[in-house]
Amino acid sequence: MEPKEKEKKPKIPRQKMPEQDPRRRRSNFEEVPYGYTEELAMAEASRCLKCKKPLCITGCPVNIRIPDFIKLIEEGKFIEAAWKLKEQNTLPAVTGRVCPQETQCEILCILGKKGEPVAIGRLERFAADFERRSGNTKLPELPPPTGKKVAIIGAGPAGLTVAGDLVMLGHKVTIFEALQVTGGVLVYGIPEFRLPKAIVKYEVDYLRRLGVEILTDYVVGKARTVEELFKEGFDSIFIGTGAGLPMFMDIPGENFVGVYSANEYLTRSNLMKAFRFPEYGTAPIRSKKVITVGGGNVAMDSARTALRLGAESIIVYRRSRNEMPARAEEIHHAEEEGVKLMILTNPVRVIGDEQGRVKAIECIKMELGEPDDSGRRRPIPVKGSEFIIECDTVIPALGNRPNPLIAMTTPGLKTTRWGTLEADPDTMETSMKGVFAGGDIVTGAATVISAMGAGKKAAASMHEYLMTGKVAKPEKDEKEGEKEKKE
Amino acid sequence: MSEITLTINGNLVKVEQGDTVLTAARKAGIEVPTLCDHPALEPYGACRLCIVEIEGMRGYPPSCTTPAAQGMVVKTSSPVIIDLRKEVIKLLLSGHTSPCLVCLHREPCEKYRPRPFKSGRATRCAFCSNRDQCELRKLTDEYKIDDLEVPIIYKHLPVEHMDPFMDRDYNLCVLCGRCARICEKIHTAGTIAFVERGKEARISTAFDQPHAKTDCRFCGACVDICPTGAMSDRYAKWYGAADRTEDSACILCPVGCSVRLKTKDGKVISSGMTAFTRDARICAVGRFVLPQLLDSRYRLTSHQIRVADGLIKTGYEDALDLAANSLKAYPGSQFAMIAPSSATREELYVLRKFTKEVMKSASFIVEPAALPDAIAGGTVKALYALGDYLQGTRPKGLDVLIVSDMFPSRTEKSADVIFAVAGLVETDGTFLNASGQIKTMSAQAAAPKTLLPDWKVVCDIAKKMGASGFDFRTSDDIAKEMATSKVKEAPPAAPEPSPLDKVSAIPRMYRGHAMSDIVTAMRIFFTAQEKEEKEAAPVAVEEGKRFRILEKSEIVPNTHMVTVHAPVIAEKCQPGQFVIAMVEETSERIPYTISDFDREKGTITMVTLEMGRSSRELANTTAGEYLAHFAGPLGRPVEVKKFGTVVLGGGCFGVGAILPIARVMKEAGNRVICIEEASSHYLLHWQDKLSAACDELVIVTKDGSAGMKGGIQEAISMLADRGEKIDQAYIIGCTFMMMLVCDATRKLGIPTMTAMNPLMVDGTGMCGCCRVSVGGVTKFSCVDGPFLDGLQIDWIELMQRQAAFKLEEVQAIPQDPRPAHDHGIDHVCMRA
Repeated sequence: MEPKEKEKKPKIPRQKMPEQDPRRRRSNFEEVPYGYTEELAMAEASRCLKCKKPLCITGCPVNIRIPDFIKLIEEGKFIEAAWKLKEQNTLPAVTGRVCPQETQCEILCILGKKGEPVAIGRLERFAADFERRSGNTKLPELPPPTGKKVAIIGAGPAGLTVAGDLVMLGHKVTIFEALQVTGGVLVYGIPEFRLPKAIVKYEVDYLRRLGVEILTDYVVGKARTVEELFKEGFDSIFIGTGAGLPMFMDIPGENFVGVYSANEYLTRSNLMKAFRFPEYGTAPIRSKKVITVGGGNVAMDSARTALRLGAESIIVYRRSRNEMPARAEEIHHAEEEGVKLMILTNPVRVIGDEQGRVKAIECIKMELGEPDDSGRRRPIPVKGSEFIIECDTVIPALGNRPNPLIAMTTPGLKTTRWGTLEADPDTMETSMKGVFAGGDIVTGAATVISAMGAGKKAAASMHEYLMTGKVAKPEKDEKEGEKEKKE
Repeated sequence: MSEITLTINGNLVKVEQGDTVLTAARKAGIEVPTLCDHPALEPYGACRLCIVEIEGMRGYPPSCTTPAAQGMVVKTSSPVIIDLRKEVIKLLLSGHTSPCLVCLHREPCEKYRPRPFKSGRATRCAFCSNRDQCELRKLTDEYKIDDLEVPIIYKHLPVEHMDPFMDRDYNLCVLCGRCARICEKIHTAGTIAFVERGKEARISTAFDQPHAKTDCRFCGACVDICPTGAMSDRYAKWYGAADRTEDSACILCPVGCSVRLKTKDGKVISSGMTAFTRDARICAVGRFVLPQLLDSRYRLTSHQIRVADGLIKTGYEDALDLAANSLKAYPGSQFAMIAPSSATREELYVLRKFTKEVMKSASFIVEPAALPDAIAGGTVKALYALGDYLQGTRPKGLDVLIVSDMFPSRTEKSADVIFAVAGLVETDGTFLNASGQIKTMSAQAAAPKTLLPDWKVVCDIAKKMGASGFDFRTSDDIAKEMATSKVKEAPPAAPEPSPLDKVSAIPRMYRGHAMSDIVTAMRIFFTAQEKEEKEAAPVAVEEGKRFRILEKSEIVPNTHMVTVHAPVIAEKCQPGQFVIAMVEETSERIPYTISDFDREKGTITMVTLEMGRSSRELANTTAGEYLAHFAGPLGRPVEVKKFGTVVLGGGCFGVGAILPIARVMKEAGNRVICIEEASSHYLLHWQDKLSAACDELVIVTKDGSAGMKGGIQEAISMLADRGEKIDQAYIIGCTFMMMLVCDATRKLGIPTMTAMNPLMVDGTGMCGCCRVSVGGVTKFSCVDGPFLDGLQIDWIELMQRQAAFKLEEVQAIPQDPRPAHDHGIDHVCMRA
């Protein structure tokens, strides 16, 4: 297909990605979509108009050369497509799965104006998976060592991106991770059925093969401070410690047994593999009826995990469906599997029994008023509409605050009133010389790809800093990645 | 037999000549306490509890071995006898780990800690699985013994975990000999007997071999007859006392023994003999494997049907519809059914009737040794298999495969419909055993109550297919029909040798599954040699592993000290902080208080009590091995400043934890008083280290066997009474102890910081599992603690939160035997 004009309409519709039957997947932890076949991928790739001034790229926080890699797929050069992706993106198999493409690159696709945009995310996923399955991972040639040492604190999406970019520029990179495995939110937060952990491991192993040193079980802020890392010979430091402090509802009864933060609920299952108890030692949360509170992706992840652990699963959300910050696809998947949504409903207290265990939750009906600061219509309680839902588990999925460990032990770092680190939005440089930060620790809870975008920017600045000793402000040109709004 | 008359406690009692005084007393309804006596055993006269006063007879003879005589005048509860019995009980207690029995805090302890801790060794009642059934304990209560005049002698014998199914801790043994006597009675040549003499006397096997290497048949009689927690059923022990008992039959082999099932909350926790007689004896499978099969984590719990993607869980009706519709098209020789031999008569009758009358097929096969040609060769198009009989391959030409099973199987993977069913003792009905006896089964024990037995499923399919004659509601209905029909039944052949006589002859298969795949502890009977070789292999030093265990010992019983090489943590840690350890990749992340550290050597030392799966993993390590993960230092250090007089109280694992705090508090110019609390003298440790680090060390024991009697709270009151002005207290130990201490310090107005030990997942502030209410505000123990203001903590909420996973904690405990290597206990409590 050789489109000459941009206006030329595609001859074929956007290709669907085959998925596991919802009746089956609601009781397993296997990944939901199977991914494109080669045929489907080539067909989808052929829809791309290969615009001269591709708008899609401007929507991508990490500037992937989207039309280029799609063209390679169309030509059947799948491995080459993966390599093309990796020029910009160290974790394509991850981002192909968890990026909200519909609000970033795909929303800008010309085809989307009149029909459906090219399925950029699915193609990215296809190429990355193809390379991984082929075992034909290309290790690029690295430039001669610069002799500079970089410490990265936190092996989440931001930190891994910085590591990938800086190791490719010849710097010696060490990642410090507090948990026992690398990946941050990719391994403790996002469930297996949305992002198989083997994929994260593969992408992290790729970094290792490039020469990145990774120290797990290393709690910077406790075992070492930022200043001590400088003393130990690191030339520049990146802080990507994420937003790991869970928020609770601040209503009576929140400490009853059976109220678990979404972080705890998901960490038990994802990181600690409690769904394989008792082979794994961490106890699973066995519930009959789970109420998840919130409307973001984390709420969807929790509610869908609850289903898979055998419970009846209900999401309670105080605004209407339109205001839900979760990706449309996640809401769709959740409902398809059998999660029930109760919108315009807000919990007012948790009710427990004599043993201190949750037996019900009291909620109040809400209605929408005038828009608030976030632009969404403000939910207002309907007087006298309180009602009780019997349940044994309540999961507040209301977002997370930044992890305070580093800020607490690093006096030189300025923080905002929300506890996030102050960093220049263009260079990601913090108030401390040589220290950069990015991801949720700067923005508050947001998305994987925005963290990776910040990682990209930080890596560029850090490289400049390492080579010249200073960081110049770049020209303003990039559009900031859409952030998931915090509920 | 001639009758004789005697007087007991003023009552005239008539008994047979030859009866003992004890029998006579019991006939008269007079309670005489006993311990070594058991209705199934001959009189033994070992425990001396049943002593009585008999006029004209010298001394105080045991009533169990004294024959009753005409005209005897007996007193069973005169003041002198009561006093003597108390002495006897105290002597028995001196050889038993019983400090809890005389503890001042026993009542609140049992109220707030209703279940004992899941220890490796029962160092006291609170750590003993048999606590609520202990006969010694009942006697102690009956005779109101609240002081031990003879200190407990802890025998320091290694605990025997190396055999399948049972744990033996002879440190609890009171030498009543019941186990050895019942073993001899049932098996003629007993496996266990007394060895050594005098105070060295103990129960053991010949040459102290593990039971699996002797001719022990694992009938469990010794476990069931033991009056203490010395012998225990590894699987059942932590579930506590049963709430229901019912007789049924084990149909796992043709012997078809009667079994007595004990259930708790609808779960079968144990299966045992119906009587302590040779005739009623059962094999290891009937005694130990059966309950574990029913409760297996592999158990199928939902019906499944095949869709394009694979199998999906579905409701019973959908599964029935699909099965019925699929089978309709394959009548006659195209259909075959394979049934297990471990099925009731009624079940087999219905299955056969279905095959014959509904499917019009003659292919009803019971427990095939090999797959019949008709199935393997493709003549059969529709197969109903009640177990894993296809060896994993779906025969070519098979259009329909219906599987009904209790466990996932290789057959299941290719099935079109899978029924999850109830089986074995979950079904009622009768079983024709090899001796030609018809055994009755009771289904009252049925664990997953939602599951139906096979006969019911088949009846429902038959009805869906429009067949009549399948309206049975109970197995009795089936039995009635069987009585009128001419079913020919022949008893199955008896296994040779009998599993009752040889443990290697126990049944291995159920529904085509090797039971040892489900209950892995069985493997030792078949692969003992192979396993040993594997264990003997040296531990490989793993590349990239960082956290090497340099020292490991059991400093006092059930209390383990582990020193780990972790220089980064050792360099930075401060007193009061904790570490998170994962012994294996599959472990939980468990917080351990740092008990000591050496910055130069780069080591962190932890002291932990074994009380569940994770602490057991740590307790089972040996020096030279590596921990999978080790992170820290976490939490806030204690605030170090000059308070004036600081009291540091530590109990159990907390004894070690107060040591580094004592050092820094002393350095800061405080007068430091350490209080070490232990249940009894044999649990005291590190007194020398603590003495060196503080101005005064106060020892308190619950039984008064060392230092003052009581707990930390009594010690603090004592200090206050003598005029000490205490400016700050730090308390580390179990939640219950800290709560009691805070009750006391609150009254005395002493600011008290307590070290939280709630459940945790990550330990870095990420999950909030460890939240604690302090003065109405929620704190995270991991980042705000571990030390929080004990006077303001909501202790009840904290204890409820700690109990959140109490059932899972029991289920998490591995059932496989532990290798016999003895870590060795330092017999001298003080360590250099």
